[in-house]
Amino acid sequence: MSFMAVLIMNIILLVITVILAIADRLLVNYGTCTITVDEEGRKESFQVEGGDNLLTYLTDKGIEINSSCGGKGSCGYCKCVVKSGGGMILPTEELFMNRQEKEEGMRLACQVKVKEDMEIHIPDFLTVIRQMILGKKFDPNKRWLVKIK
Amino acid sequence: MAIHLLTIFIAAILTHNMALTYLLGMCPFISLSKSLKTASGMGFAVVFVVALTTIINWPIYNLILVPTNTELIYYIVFIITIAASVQLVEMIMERFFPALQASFGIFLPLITVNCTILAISLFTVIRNYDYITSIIFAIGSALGWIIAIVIVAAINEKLKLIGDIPKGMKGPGVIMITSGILALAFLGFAGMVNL
Repeated sequence: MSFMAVLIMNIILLVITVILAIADRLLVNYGTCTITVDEEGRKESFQVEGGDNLLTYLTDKGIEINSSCGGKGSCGYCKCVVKSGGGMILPTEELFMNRQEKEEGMRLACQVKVKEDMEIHIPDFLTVIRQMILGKKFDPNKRWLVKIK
Repeated sequence: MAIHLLTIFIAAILTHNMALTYLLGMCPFISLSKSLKTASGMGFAVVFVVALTTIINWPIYNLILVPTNTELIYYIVFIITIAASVQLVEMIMERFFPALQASFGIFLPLITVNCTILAISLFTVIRNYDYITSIIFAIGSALGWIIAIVIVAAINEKLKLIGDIPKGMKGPGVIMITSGILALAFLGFAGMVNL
């Protein structure tokens, strides 16, 4: 019986894999897209095969961007400004954005799917801290204890 | 038969509500009930995925696993079919219905591994429902879930307007208490219809 179970399991997995592979081949085909990254004055552009999310491409290319949830859209750290080619802001991103950020075109890199040529701007880490101070989310006068092991 | 189906449908919505009676699907229930728009978007995605996966899972169990005497792997098979069918639907929607995808497509990957979806497929098997009853039960349960999340989101939006919530209670805290009181209210339906 256990042999039968393993066999059935493998057959089901095989069928599903084949269906998904065919669908992936036929449906997800956005061609080559160019992503231009503007990182505080430093411009860099690279070409990718579209279809995946922006965070994946940025981390693949070694461009530093914060993320602690690994692209699940639950931490809201991977904020970047999408100047063109990002489409509309999604309901899952709206929870992490204030009105000013929405107007600037701020998006979560993990929620933006690359379908066409894109131009993005990654805010400097210090700028983020500065905004946190302005938003009173961070107290610069507080003494921070940092331990290095 | 029609009365039986109607009973199951109403029981799945009110007396056996997935969110408030069985406490299933609590992760999106708490995190996405902050605004009415997001809650209803998520709710419709749940209805769609639940109906779709029940349509697929029931034949897999009854036509493949039962005749081959391999029912013990039904948990893992259900999880795999749910994940794969959601992936496939997302691909199809993205290619052919971009407007629909923009409205609730983003919630689809979030509920792939949601326990409500799996639980509804499992309930149909455990309770030995036939195919039509399974689908009616699945749609009813999903509608029950959507009603619960939409009511909680609406109450939460009203509470935000009042703005008199203690600091420690903001966010999940107040949602948990709201859902608790709402569950007590839904207890009032107990005894009306039963599964």
